[in-house]
Formats: sequence, C-alpha cells, structure tokens
Amino acid sequence: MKNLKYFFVGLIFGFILIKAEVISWFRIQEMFRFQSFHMYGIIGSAIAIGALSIFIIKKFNIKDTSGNPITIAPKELNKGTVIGGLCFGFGWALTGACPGPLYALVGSGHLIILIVLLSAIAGTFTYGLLKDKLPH
Amino acid sequence: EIFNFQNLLSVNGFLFMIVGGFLVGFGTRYANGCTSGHSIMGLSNLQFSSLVATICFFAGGLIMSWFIIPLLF
Repeated sequence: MKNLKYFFVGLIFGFILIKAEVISWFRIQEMFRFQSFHMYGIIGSAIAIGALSIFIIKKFNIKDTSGNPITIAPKELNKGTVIGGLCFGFGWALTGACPGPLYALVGSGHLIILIVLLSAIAGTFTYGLLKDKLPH
Repeated sequence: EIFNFQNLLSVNGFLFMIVGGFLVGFGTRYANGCTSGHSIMGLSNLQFSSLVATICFFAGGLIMSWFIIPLLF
C-alpha cells in the first residue's frame, strides 16, 4: 500500500506525457528536423523546473517523507555514456519514443507498441548479456 | 498512423519498430539513463555526464533523422 504513491506519480506522468504529445512520433521527428519549438519547450521547461526544485531542495536541506535527507546519486561518465547515448538516439528517432512514452503509448491503446516494448526489453537484456564485453 | 499491425509486416515497419525498440532498450542501459534520467534529472542536477549523454542522444537522433531515415525509406 505504501507504493500507492508511486502509482499516482506514474499516473500523473503518463497523463502529462499524453497531453503534451510527447508520445507522438511526429513531434519527435519535428524536433530533430527543427521544424517546431514544441519538444524543446517541454524538455527545456522540465529542466528549468527540475533545476530550480533541486536547488531549493539542496539549499534548504529538505527531508523526504521519512525524514532522511534527499540525496541524488550522480551518474558516472564513461564510454558507455557516449556509445549508449548514440544507440539510444538512433532508436529514439526511429521509434519516436523513450521508454516512458512506450508504456504511455500502450496504455493509450496502441497495442502494436507492445512489440516495440518487448524489443526494448530484449535490448536491455542483451546489454546485460554483453555488458562485460562492451567498452566502458 | 504509422504504428499498426499491417505496418509491422512491411520491411519498413519492421525496421522502425523492432530495430528502433531494441536500440532504445540497449542504448538506455548502456548510457545508464534515458532522456528522463539524464536529460531532465541529470541536467537539473548539473551533472556533466548527463550533458554528454544528452548531446549523444541528440546526435544519434539527428544522424538518424537527417541521414539514415531518408536513405532507407
């Protein structure tokens, strides 16, 4: 039951993704062809609000619901970031979706996206298999 | 709508959906994050690794959109 809060956060996230048309393949293509400000506006404003929120959290040492200080684990930078980033970019332009929007798309009725989702899961699984052999 | 079952059976649709999906999954794990994790959360936290990741996401997308998709389709 205590995980119910994650359910609601997810619910709101999915709803916003759909309303903002983030899940549209055409919007993503527009973004890459610089034909529209739409996606830049969404990602830009998200980063602005996120940065402001994190700044406030750090400045006032805001605690989470259990009273623990909020720490954000930094992500390391390695060759994987670059190569994986490029791979993700290729897939992003092809499918027009990130992992989150994939779920939102399935939820909004495009059942064919289940194939894309399964393929993405296969991709992560393959990464797990090949992890030690890939450059990092 | 590009995404429907008929399109899956054409080569174009297959490439788009299955190869694209595979790359999304593989790339997200390899880069240790997607646009939510790196671009939004990482940049909000002012991490350099996330800036590199975001640039690569974008570069990959641009290369695919401008060069490969017109070439293949």
